[in-house]
Amino acid sequence: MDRSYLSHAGVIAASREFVCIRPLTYESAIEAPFLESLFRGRSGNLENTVFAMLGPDAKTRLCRTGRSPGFAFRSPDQMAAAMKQILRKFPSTKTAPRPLPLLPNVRLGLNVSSCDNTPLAIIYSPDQAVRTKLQQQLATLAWDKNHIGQIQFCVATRAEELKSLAGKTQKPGILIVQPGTYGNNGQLVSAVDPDTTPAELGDAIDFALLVSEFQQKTMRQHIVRGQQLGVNWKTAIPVTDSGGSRRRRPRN
Amino acid sequence: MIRRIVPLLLPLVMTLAAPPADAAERIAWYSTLKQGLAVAKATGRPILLVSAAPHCHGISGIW
Repeated sequence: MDRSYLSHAGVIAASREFVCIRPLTYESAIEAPFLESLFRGRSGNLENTVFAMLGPDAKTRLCRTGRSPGFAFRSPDQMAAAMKQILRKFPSTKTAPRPLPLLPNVRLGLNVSSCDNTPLAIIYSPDQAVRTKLQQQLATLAWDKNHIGQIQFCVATRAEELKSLAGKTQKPGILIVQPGTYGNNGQLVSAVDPDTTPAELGDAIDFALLVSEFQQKTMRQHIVRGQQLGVNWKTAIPVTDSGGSRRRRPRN
Repeated sequence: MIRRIVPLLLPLVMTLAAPPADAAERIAWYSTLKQGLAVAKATGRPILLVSAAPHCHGISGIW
């Protein structure tokens, strides 16, 4: 996928008025049929990536769907202009609070935050009421202009879910973690207790953003080194995009 | 109360406050269809959808 589209300033600015969804391909048997209904490759199977812009009903297609934004737009500028035009058709009338965007679990949270080079905030408590309160606190922070898109979030209810983390992670609260290079582990950077104040929570998040260090990854080096280290990510459903693998297979 | 994981560093770093100025703007994504589609329906906002696999050749940590 040409990521220049999704890092384009105009596209990012317009995205603030869209609901942006990035499903994790091959990680949900429930989501796969919907993605396949939007786009299938020449093989007839679900490909690694799917791109679409849809109406709020999730049925109306607002542009050509495909494997990437490049299927619909010649350039990031054209995509940004099209998004602005779409927004004119959907004037903002309803004001509903935006919930905290949550990754499905800690395992995927670590992996996705590693892919994005962002910290991961884990809401950890066996108590549903505590988790709900912490999620609401984090939601306010997640959508403010200083933090939007800068950190990933997920929930843990049991200590076993935190076994891939280094550092003291036994106490409930919000644990902010720097993911490892391959997203299969993480290092605790800061944490707050369940009775934290919004100001303390903000300080802990900002601290993690300041001290987390991420290396720029290059595809080939990352894959070769990962193979040497024995990294082997298991997907929830079979990967069916063999064409993409053939095209990008690294030389060993 | 903040658990000071790095007790000596935290006060120093927090004097700098706020997220780093060079933090690149990013799109904020919902990661599940269930959550994202519910928000779209509730708010009447259009949807930007880009699915992606968080691995390549079985190696995680890269899109």
